[in-house]
Amino acid sequence: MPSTSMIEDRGEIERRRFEYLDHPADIQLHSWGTTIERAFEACLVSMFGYMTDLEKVEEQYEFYWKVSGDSMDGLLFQFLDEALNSFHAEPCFVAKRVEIMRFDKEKLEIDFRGWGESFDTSKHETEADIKSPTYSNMQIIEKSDRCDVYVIVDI
Amino acid sequence: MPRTFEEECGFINRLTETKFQIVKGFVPNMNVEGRFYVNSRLEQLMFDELKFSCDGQGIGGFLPAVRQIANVASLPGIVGHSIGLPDIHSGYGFSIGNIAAFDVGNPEAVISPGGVGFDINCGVRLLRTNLFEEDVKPVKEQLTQSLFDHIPVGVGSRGAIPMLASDLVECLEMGMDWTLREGYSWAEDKEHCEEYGRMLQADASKVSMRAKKRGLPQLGTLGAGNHYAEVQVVDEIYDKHAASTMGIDQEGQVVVMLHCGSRGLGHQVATDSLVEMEKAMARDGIFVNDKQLACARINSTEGKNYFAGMAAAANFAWVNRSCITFCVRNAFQKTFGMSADDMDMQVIYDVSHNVAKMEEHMVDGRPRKLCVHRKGATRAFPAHHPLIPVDYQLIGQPVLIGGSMGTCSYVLTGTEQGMVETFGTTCHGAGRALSRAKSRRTITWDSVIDDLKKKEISIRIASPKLIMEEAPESYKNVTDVVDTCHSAGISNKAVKLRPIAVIKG
Repeated sequence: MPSTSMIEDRGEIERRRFEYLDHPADIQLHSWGTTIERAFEACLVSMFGYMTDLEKVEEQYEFYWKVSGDSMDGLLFQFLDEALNSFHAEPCFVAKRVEIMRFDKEKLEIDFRGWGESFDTSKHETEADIKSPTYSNMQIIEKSDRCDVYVIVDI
Repeated sequence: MPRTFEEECGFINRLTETKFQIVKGFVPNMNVEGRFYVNSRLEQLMFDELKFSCDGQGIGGFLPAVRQIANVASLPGIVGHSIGLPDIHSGYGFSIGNIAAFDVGNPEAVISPGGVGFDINCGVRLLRTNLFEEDVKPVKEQLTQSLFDHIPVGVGSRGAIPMLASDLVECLEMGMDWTLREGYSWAEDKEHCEEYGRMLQADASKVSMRAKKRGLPQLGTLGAGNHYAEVQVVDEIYDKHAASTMGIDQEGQVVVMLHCGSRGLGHQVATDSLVEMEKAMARDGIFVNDKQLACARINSTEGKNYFAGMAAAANFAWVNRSCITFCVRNAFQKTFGMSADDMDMQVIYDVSHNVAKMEEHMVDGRPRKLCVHRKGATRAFPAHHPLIPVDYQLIGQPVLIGGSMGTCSYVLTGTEQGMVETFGTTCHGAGRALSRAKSRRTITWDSVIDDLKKKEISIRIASPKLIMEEAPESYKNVTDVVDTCHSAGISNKAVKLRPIAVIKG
């Protein structure tokens, strides 16, 4: 079984709702869902999936986050950055599954949680070191029945 | 209606064999023109990127480097040109390989974290030894393993040097003066370092708690991605005088190259400032063509805070490279049973290729204080410049160009012409040509390993799966890049180096 970021099977990609697109230096995350919540969730999972093989991550504990932004782009940026921070600093948390519990589109706030475990180099494979999400060509395309999210992350 | 590729090309003119001009009007509000340096092979890559973006209809995708150069040219207070170097490729806001200078005296002039990049003071350090290839050959595998054991590499690795939170604050303010005090650096090391390994403008209180938390466990780690430590041998000497001044006397001599930066701490400083600056832009009425070009006036609170935080992150990166230097010296001592001093393991030089600095330059015949942003570009001051070490006053500043995995690296020196044309700046490395995803698809793992084996290069890598992403085919040819800079006159070739062992994240 190839690692999360190497999967090319279209069926699996449609099921998990994210893929990795070309960028000269880094990688572009593309995720989608029937709603913006689902698309954001898939986007966050795709970010973790580029750093390690999620197949090897167990759902040992839950982690809660809360973010706010001043625009929808800013909110998406904070949403990814906040979760990335719990990976880079203690407790080095990697989420395998993510759920948005509250998405306030007026106040631009999100409460969300992830299931996963602490990264352990002896158990998990180290892949790319994503350092930060970026605003570069960030796109959130919301239609009535589908939402697509594009984010380039810095490696 | 977006312009077609042909219409876009109408804004780009060839000035010389290797120099191109981007005229005003290519993007809105350009204050100055753009310039970029490429040879015919790199030119092809550059225009392909633009063509690809014109065909892409703007969904997904990314901004091509030429458009990014032009967007930077539209920032307030920019002087001279917005310049692209031969290793340029699309980045965030600024391309990697973009230089821009802003007039500090102009109250409208800005400083932009995007012009420095996320990995603040990412750079290259070169150590020499008095060993030769024959000395290393019999113990090459042991040496490579020893380096891999000594240097913490890869995602999630922890630094080898014990650190407390209070030490971190001192590191941020003191840079290499800290590693010298603690006994990790030699006194001579900082003499051969840009800014003597310490930016005095640093203020640790301008680095957020969050950034410090990210930095603490990572101090003294190499990181992942394109960062590496390489054992190299001198392959060719172009400038005998310059080389011998640097302590490189003969072909076959062994040197060690390190490439790393400020890790998560620098990234967090950049990210934090982006949020601050968005607010400042709204307040001061600064409009930019690309959201990633967030900036603030140099003399505003946000601008000053960013510069102080950036300087602290730069100090962190020097401490980081110094801690790794300490590890390298130890690994050599263990393998050869000699002291590092006896092996003459001196720092030849240490360059930064992601940083903004306050410098004096001649603009229209008058000296002016500028804030020079170098993102994926190396400072290359000429001989006799007051800011380069005494030892190199006669040859110009050494410039260290890291190649891609398994290809050669170069040592260049700065020139007068570079001072005039590019604010004393030249290229920084190979620059990516293929995307990471494309590398994974088109290059096989075995072919990369076979290729390294054929070249007799030992390798230790923390994330072996990623080896394709860093394969030489994924990068521009570093020789093309260096030759373009040489023929454009912005730097001189001094020494060519070839790797014999690679340690990667």
